[in-house]
Amino acid sequence: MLPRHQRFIGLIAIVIGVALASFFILNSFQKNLLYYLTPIQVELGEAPVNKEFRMGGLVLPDSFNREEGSLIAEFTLTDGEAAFKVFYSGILPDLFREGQGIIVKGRLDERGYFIASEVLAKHDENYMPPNIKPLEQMKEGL
Amino acid sequence: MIPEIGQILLIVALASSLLQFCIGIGFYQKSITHSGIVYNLSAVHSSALLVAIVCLGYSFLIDDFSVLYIALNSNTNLPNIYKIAAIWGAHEGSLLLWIFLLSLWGVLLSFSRKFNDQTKTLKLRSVAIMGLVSFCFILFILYTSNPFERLFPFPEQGRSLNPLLQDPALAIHPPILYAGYVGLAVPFSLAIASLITINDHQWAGIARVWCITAWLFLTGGIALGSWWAYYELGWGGWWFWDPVENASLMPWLVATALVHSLVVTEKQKLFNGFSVLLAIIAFSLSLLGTFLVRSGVLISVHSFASDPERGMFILALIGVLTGGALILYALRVKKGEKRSLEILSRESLLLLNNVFLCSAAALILIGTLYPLIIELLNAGKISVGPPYFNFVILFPFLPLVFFIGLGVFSTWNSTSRNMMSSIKWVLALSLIAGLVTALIVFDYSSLLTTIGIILAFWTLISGLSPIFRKTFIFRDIIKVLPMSLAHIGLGLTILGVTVTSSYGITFDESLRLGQSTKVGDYVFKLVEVNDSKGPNYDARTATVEISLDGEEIAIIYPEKRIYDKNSPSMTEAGIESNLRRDLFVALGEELGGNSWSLHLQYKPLLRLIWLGPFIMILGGLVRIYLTKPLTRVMS
Repeated sequence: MLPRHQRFIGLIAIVIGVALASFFILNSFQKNLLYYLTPIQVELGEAPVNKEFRMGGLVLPDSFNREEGSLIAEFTLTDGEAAFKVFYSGILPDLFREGQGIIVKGRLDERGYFIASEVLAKHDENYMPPNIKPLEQMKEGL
Repeated sequence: MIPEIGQILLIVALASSLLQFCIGIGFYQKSITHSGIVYNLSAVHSSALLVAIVCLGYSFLIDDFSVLYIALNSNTNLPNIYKIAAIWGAHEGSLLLWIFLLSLWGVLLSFSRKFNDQTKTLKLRSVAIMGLVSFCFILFILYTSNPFERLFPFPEQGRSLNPLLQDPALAIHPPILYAGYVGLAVPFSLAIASLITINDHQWAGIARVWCITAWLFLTGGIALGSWWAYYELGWGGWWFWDPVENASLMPWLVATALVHSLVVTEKQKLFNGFSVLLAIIAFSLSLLGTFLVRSGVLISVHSFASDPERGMFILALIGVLTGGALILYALRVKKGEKRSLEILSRESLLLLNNVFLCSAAALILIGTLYPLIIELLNAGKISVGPPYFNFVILFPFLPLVFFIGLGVFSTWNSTSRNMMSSIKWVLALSLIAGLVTALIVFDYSSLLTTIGIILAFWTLISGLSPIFRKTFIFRDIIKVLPMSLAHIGLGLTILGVTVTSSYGITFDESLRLGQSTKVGDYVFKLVEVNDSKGPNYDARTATVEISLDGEEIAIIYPEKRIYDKNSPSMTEAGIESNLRRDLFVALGEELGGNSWSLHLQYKPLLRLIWLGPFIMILGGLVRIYLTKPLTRVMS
């Protein structure tokens, strides 16, 4: 084989390799983007279908419930305009409590409940998820 | 009074760093007759910063809550050792430490004896650049984040230091990581100084040792941070692809590329431009890391502080320093000799792998910054999840690791004739070791896992082989030892990461007192949960018995701690570990009816993830303290 041919084949191999890699990378990028929404946005139907997303809000006071001895927790997440019942099976973060701003990751089921696979609370008691107002202001709005 | 002294010292440091830059760069006089003054100025500005830190530390120790920073980050109940660590517990103080370490690198450079007559201009100009970087950041402290700001009227008692930060590993994690970040300023300054002075490969040999030193600190800092996250953040993860972790990994990847590129530039006078560029990028990524951590622009577990003004200021600084450096690069860089490269020569393989390392950094950068850009464009809020990083990192890493092994057997300038014969054995050995591990020691999990384990052994064995290939002549071994150790460390880390992620078991479970559950082959039994008391916290301690094949092997005590009634509880995990596996229990909440939620983990070979970096660090230390001095003595 002539060196010229060798170089040509090498070049084609590189181009194909880079193209394939970019395709997979972009694909994975698209698949792993997590949208962040507030409850009102979810109610308005902005949530992606069949895909996990994140929802931020406050844990509504007196909404927390858990059966004795069970890992499944149930609470309501609200932004003052809309509210969703959230189910989560597992250990809640140390900072989780009623009135606290948190972010949940998961998807809606057919009943319209949010099934969370992850509950995030920040290591800051005064943390507010993006676009969420504190409880006092929320009450004025209601 | 003491805080005011600190404040004045900051201004002294500002002035002297500015002078250091102006005189050193040659505004006053082109010749280098004033170099002594410049070096002394760098010592003055560093000592001023040191004394300023001492002032802050003293104010912490005497609980001077009239200083805002202290009132926010300390209280009288804090143990003295954590009052000292609280100096860098939050934004202002940690930045002060950052700048002090930067100036310290400047002093070390100023009084380094590694420069000869040809390179003394290079030295002077690079110290000047160090002065400029210092100046920018001292200005930043004084303008946006003064740790000595007074509070009036001042409170009787301060707020507590975030209990998460009251931990020995975390107390030393920031200084080490920062030392690594700012250490990259030295190769950066040398590269810039090289552009404006001699403009050839001579800077590379000097920059290499500095770069390795900074790289050591970065490696140590990242490993410590990951270890801390594992046992302290509560849930037994060791890497989260959190923006702040990414911010430390990106400079590490590029610094690793830089270390290798500098070897080629020093020894073969090749890739000078590429090395300069890498030096600029590595330090810019460090600055970007500071921006990401300190501006609070990212939703991150690490952002304890946030302030948009600070973010804008740092962004402007990055613009000036990086932008300026890149423009200078474009104008001045001289390409090295044109030489055609043998495909399998050492320089080509090193170049190839440096490209892979940079691609890895670029992919992480995209995933980290994309959410920011989307938000700036008002196109909604998104985040990029760990699956993205876990997946795309494989594209540069799989070939990278393969070529690392090849590179070990290659020679400069030519395709080595012996290469194939040595590789055959190493390849066969890695295949056997890898397949035995993946299929017999553990069960078959997936093709990717099997490839990962084989590649880990490939790196490990190819790293080991130069030691045995040479006929045990001390002088030859000491020369290859640093590289060997670094590659062995990498191989161990890859092995640990692959095995832990593929064969680890993690789940949450509700257990009644006296009830047990199986995690892999191990049986975990919740014996009791009691209240207990620590030096500055109340705790609830669980007793968990672990047995294997009916035989008790350990009792561990996971805790929930409450440091202060107004702040939430902290989870202190119970860990039983040896080199083969980690067993991990974190105590969750009381679920009623005498049951508790527990987070349980079995993680095989987890320790290798931190043993690997430790051995890499060892390699770097051998290079700096043994190889260099010894080879000089022996030749």
